[in-house]
Amino acid sequence: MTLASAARQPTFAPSDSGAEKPMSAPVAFSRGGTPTAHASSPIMTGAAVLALKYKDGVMIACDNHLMFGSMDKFRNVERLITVEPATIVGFSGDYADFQYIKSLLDDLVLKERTCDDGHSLSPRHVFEYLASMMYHRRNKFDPLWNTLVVAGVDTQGKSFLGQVDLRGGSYQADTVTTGFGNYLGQPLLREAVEGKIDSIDEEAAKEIMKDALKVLFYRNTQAANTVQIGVVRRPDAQAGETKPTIQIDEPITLDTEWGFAQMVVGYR
Amino acid sequence: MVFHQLPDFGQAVSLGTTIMAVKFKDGVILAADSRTSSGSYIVNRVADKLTELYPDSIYCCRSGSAADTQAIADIIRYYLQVHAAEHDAPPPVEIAANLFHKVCYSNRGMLSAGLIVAGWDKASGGAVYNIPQGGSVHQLDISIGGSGSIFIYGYCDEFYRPDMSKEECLDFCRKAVALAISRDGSSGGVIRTCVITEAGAERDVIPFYEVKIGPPMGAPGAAPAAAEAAPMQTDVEVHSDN
Repeated sequence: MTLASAARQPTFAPSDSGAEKPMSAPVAFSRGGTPTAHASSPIMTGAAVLALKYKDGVMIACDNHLMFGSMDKFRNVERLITVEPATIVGFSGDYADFQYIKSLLDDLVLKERTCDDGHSLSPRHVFEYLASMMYHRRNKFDPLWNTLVVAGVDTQGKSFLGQVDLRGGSYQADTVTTGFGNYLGQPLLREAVEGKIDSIDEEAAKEIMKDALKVLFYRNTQAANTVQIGVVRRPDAQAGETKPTIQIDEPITLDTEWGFAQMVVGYR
Repeated sequence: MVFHQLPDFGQAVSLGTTIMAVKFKDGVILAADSRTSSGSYIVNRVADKLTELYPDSIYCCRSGSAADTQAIADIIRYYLQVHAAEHDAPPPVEIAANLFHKVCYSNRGMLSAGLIVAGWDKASGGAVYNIPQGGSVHQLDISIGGSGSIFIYGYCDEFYRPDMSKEECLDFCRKAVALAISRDGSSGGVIRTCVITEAGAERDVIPFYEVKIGPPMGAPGAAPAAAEAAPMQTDVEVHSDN
């Protein structure tokens, strides 16, 4: 084969003489040649995560339940973790895979501390690490079945907000959502936030978030009523701060409206 | 299993649900949640699953396909009107149950319907009948159904007593449905009840969070679950040896 013809034709097994072959079905092959199936569907799952940028930094929120199919199995689960010094990572999808990701992030933090060279992990570092790692797993046909939200503030005080999914696809935006949040939450967050970041203080950001979480609770069978909101605030120079602050609040219960149910009688 | 889905327009709108009917001293109480779902999307969060079949005396709880159960209930409502006209008296609950049985059994391959028929008539007082998916009929003192019911079999087995008072029975039913709602993703919303006695039918609605249950195991405020390995974020003091 000439170099040009080799470039045109897809190459598969070494025995391929150059004839066109259809793409084989995506199956992972172990050394023995038999296909191995890895995690192909999530079991214990976390529901949507919502995140937005506001005046003082970034805010991220989700409920603290895990579903087992349609059963609400665990109700006191931390779906937001901190990656010191200034990042919060939230997850939706398989919990076992996330526990593994958490241990990887803990190792990353440990490595950074061991280095002790005056540098620290910025949210961007965490984001790029997770993106390459998720993409690497995707290429092995053995994904970590999660969508991760990375929210934080870097050493220059700039907000960071991004998402990495199970295929290794990643993006950054002013508002980031996962799962059902994409359909029900994202339009609300975009409307409230895009172009208006500098005018939204923390209280207002909390209200926007609670509003979107409420809609999720109304319309998503996987969503729960108890939620946790976390923020990463850039350092307040006037108060003499030099480091960002991370704060993940205690779980709160959303106020929901059901009074009008009395007016609904029958199905006609 | 997928962990989130678009509103699944290919899938039937289903009353993934919690329903129950319980005989008490003076009659029966029916109770249900109010969630209609299509996959993960909640189509109606204030649905009324307690359907009147004959005014003030016979109601049914619907679970399964919303369309199927509505169609069947409409048919039975019609036949009960005819029966009442012919006999010049409210129909017995047994007649309603048998009509459901006829329809559900002969169409069993095509229907997805789990129904509980309950009411009060002069001949037998309160009566509860369960007609599950296959189309069989079962007369019982207490009957639970729907996807959320699996979570409360233990509770109902343990705490049901025959001949409760109206208040006790309402409390029992509301607690049962609230417990099911707290675990079942397909159940939620408000808890509707209907008390049927000789005096007629009395409907009520309360939001699920107004029922005193819990705290559930592992929830914040309850006894702590087994501790996870602590993350490596604590400051470690390093002492030098000189």
